[in-house]
Amino acid sequence: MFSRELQNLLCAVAEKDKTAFHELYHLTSGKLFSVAIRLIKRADLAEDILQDSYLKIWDKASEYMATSNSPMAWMVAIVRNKAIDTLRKRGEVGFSDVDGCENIIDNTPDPLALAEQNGNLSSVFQCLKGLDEDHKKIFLLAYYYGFTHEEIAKQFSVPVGTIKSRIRRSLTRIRSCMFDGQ
Amino acid sequence: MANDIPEQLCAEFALGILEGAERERALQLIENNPDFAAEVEKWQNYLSPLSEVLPSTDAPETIISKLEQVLNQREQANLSFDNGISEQVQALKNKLAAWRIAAVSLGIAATVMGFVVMYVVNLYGEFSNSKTNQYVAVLRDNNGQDGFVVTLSSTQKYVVVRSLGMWPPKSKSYELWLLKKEQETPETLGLVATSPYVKLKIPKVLHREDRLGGLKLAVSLEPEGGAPKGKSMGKILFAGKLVQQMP
Repeated sequence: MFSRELQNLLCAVAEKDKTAFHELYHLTSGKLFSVAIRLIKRADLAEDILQDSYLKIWDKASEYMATSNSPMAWMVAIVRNKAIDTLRKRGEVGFSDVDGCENIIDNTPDPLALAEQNGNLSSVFQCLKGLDEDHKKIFLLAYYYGFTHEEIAKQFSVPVGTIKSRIRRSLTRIRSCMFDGQ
Repeated sequence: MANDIPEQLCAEFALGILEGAERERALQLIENNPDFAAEVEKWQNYLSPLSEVLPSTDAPETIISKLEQVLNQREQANLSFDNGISEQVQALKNKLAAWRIAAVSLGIAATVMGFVVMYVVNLYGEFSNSKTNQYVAVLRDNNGQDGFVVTLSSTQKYVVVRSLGMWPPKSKSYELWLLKKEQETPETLGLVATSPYVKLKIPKVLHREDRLGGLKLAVSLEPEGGAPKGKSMGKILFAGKLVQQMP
């Protein structure tokens, strides 16, 4: 998404420009709502999270320049943190809590296909290709749905330790792929 | 990365899999350890394209209306808070005047009241100083036409420069300068008018609030990309002084 335009809008929001805030909302709310609803799995809570997140964006836009993140990454991080906080406070949310997603493992978004459709060439997609199918699925279940080690272990019928080590291995691989180019 | 950063924890936090004490620990570290926070940010940046490729889901229209409502309510609350303070200050001033009259006839009481007044004035002073002050400079050309608005908050380390429809000619750039005392070389703050709003870091001299009021800023026309070696080559086209905005 038009990174430069979003950056300018965030600058204006930092100056408490409501028109810019409105525009920023219209450009980004669809993506951010999509992130929230996947994580929190309830439309009403996702709406609250989106509202709180935009208030935080309004309040903290001036701090954006201090970060090295892209504008979208900065906003996604705000939404994800709020959603995961709410998720953890609610306690365990099983796979069955996901409406219409009984087979959530198979329905997990395939970011590689989506990236190809959108022509997104970010290195994270190339690095994901290096993981085997199981590792990739576990990684994406954690990222998109915010499931804990325990929740994923239950679904895969394996010990929690196995999921922990798979996640660690995936992160190490992604790390060397993205940071060291291996 | 610094060796004492729990690297795995950064990545797992950004992934969103942590819970309980581990998540709590990561949140504490983000708050208190800038290296850890920077590493988490790096991971969030790398993983963010995974969210960006998701198809959009229309958010209900009610959310933006609620947001507008909350922002308006906050504005109202700030206004009434400020008005409340002004009324309290006025009331204090009135009381002060009454006591001063009384003090003329009652010498001892006047001494006591002196202490009371000093205490109240001191309290109000402390309250005023705790606020973030906003500074603004309108940079105008020789004909008095507004070109740029520069704003700065006393607690932040950057200026925001808004171009009022001023764009440099082709192959040229507008550059913002801090004009210090006479005979001192102006210091560049960076290029402006590269977009309607530009945010620029400020030099350390501007981190102290007592040095902000009255500082002169200017915009010159320079070769594309800015003055070579940080020394202005072009003519100053817009200039203005930084003044504190009234609350």
